Amino acid sequence: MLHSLTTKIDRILNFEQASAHCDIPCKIYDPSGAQVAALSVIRFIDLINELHNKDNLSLADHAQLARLVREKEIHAKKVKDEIVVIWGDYFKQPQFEAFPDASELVHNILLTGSLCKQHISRDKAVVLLNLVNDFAEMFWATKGIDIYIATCPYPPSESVVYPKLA
Amino acid sequence: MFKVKIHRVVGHSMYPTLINNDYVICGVWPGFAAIIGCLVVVSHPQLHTIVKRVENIDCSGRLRLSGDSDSSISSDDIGWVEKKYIVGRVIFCISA
Repeated sequence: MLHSLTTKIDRILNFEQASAHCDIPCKIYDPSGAQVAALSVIRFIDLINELHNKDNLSLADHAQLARLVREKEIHAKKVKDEIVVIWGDYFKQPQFEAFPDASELVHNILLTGSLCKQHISRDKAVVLLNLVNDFAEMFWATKGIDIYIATCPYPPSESVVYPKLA
Repeated sequence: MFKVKIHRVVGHSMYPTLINNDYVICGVWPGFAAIIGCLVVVSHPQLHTIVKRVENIDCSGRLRLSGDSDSSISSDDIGWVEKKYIVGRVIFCISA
């Protein structure tokens, strides 16, 4: 009863929040989300180019194009968001000391991610993936985990940095 | 002068003492001093307004804070908190 009364007052006065946030979710960092998003950007550009090669576009093709462009931009943004969270939340003094170029690499990823939103250039999307792979390699190095490079077993069949976990 | 403020708790790092959507009434008063073990609301320079338990106090009055839940952000991540950032000591909880 006291709580419901306080809640009603809160709706009027809007009490300030006092955060009691937990840290566990924030300690789950993994660049694979950014890598998959970068691969997706390449894939969407490939699919857009497949439409480009058609002589005539049907209404369904136009709808598909709109969808592909939208998804390409969403995934390019996702690359940026995933990287920023790792860089901002996980990287601290020891990581920056070990990798002094980390911020420059992140900045390049953000710029290239924006280019991938603006354009439909496959080359730019591959550059984005390569930069994200560089970031992944650096990330796993901060954890002392070796990596290997393999072709992802699905389209767009590009090289991806994976952690050697076993 | 005695000052009180009400805050709505967001998050679970103070579980089981506080849970999400609880309300805490915190206060400061003449001669106020945080004591080890009490709950305080602080306006942290990086983490903004947080509610935590006082784990330790150094000779200059700076606070070492921690959450009651194992999942809480660590004391190391919170860092030593200057006395000037204390909003108040929790004097009453309204449970959700």
